[in-house]
Amino acid sequence: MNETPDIDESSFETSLEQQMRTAVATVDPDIEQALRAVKGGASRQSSDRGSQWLLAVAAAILVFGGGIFAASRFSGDSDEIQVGDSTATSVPDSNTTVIDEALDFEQLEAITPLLAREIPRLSNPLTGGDAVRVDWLLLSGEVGTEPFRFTEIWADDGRAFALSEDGTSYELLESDTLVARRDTLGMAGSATQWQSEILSVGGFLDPESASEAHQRDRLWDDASDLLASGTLDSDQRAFLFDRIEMQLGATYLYVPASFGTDLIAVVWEGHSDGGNRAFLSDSVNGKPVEYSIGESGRPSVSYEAERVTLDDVLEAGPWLMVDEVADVGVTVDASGFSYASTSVGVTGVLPFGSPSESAILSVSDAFGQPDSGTVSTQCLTDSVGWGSLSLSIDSVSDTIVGWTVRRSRSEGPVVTTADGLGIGSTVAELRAIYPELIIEETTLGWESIDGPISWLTSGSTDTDIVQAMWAGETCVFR
Amino acid sequence: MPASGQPVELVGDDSTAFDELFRAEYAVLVRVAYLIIGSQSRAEELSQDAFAQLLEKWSGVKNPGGFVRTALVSRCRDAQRREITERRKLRLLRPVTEAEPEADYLLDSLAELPLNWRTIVVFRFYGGYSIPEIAEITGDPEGSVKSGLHRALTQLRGQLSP
Repeated sequence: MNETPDIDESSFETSLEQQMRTAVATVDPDIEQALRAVKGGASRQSSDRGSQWLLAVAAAILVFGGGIFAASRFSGDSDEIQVGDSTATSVPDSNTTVIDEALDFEQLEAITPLLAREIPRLSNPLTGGDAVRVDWLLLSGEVGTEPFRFTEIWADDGRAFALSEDGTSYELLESDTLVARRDTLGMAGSATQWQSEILSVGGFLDPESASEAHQRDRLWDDASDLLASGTLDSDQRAFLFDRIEMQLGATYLYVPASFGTDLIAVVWEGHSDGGNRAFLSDSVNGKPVEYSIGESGRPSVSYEAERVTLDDVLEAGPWLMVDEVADVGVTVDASGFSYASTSVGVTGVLPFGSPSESAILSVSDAFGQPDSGTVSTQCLTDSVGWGSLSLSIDSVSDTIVGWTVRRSRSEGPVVTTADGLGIGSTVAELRAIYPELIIEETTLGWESIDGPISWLTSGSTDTDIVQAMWAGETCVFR
Repeated sequence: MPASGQPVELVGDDSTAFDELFRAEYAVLVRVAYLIIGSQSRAEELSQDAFAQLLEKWSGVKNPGGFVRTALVSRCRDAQRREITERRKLRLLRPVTEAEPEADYLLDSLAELPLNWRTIVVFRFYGGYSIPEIAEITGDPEGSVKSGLHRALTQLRGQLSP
């Protein structure tokens, strides 16, 4: 409880206001220039600016003989570093460092001191910078050590792409740090121009296939393969789904609340076979499942789906939009839990023993009012819940003493352990974290209760899944 | 950004009204965004984007001032989300920071607040908006705004008070 006298609060707030006004005193933007930029369509995502950038890049290539080049802000004299057969030269008073021969990863590291002389903020091609810095892709460690050369760099509708020698395209992302992301599906360009652009990129799409429907089907298949590869993390999946939605017109992106963030369904309307198609990036048995809903309305499953059927998908709801899932989360462990809701800016840590009233208020701030609650007449713990998460409250001490997570039909936070285990995780994934895990058949089903967290699974094989988990003192009827 | 990538042309009274609003609000929005994001260049980019969005939607917007403020808040959220994603996902050799001449305790303290709290406290104390007005700008319930404001002030008081 805040016991600060009101007068002190008022003084602080006045001081805060004054500090803010002082902080912005030097922020004096050129209003007329900005107005011209906005009305002239030269926003930071405009194709015009991208074209300017492209021309600058092309000029740099033409003048200096091509190859990889990097940009950073320099002031002062020219500097150069010889690396193998390549010379890296910073052009004075410009945004360009030019490399006249392709470098591999180790060689780029050698010229890092040259690149490191810049003013910290990198040149951003989509805001009018003079050149592009593509080496960050290598420096980020994403590409690895294979040498490559960009043969084309172009801008389209405010987005920047580069084509490497092996035909892989990269999207150069606008950001303060200017990084590039491998555009593995060749989805460069806007939807209206993508066919012609992607044909020039190569990669996944067959340039001889003129049919747009065929192109889109191939794109869908490639997206499916990429998702099924299991190599994407949640951010990459979200990025991919953005592209799927944009390029293919998929209109629904869902994450079932009870299955956690690893299970994502994309429903794409307008597949060439006349029906809808949904894709689960990770099914409850760890295998991808794809099913179509034809015009008849009956689903047909095209992949292995012994454990997952359309009913499983439908039953797994309610469905949350991906963005909603990304915003909220609970991480549980053997001694309590932590929670975060970025959308309302609330975070907290609640170890067991926390007073229940303040705990419930805090969690409610993050996730809204609880949607379940029980007063047990047979246990010493009551419970209050949000979706799949229930907190156990000791009715004597009035403290949080346990948590339970089980599949739920209601919306709520996504709950996992710090290792990412949660409802729907496979027994194999459990054993990867807890090698000594013993799962035995009990009156509840299949359980592991020896560890700090107890697990209820669908069976004891590697492909069985977690159906519930709990820690601390909970009320479980056997 | 207009979906077509082409600028939207306003004419006559609409053009005049847009220009007047821009001249009246742009600098303020940049400063608000600066306090939220911590970077003037970024603040200008986001503010221009917000106005560009207003320009595109102009004919259907009843409250242009409110629209552009809400659009700015959305952009700040997207910018922060992208930054968090990239920093977490990519191993950068060098952190990228605005070349600030010296430590700014206010900005540092604001940066430690969750984005939502930061947005609320900036609109409250720099923008001078009321709780209901901030709720409308951010799209959050008034209760969440009050709660966020209270928590933000508690945290800031601990950091900024002598």
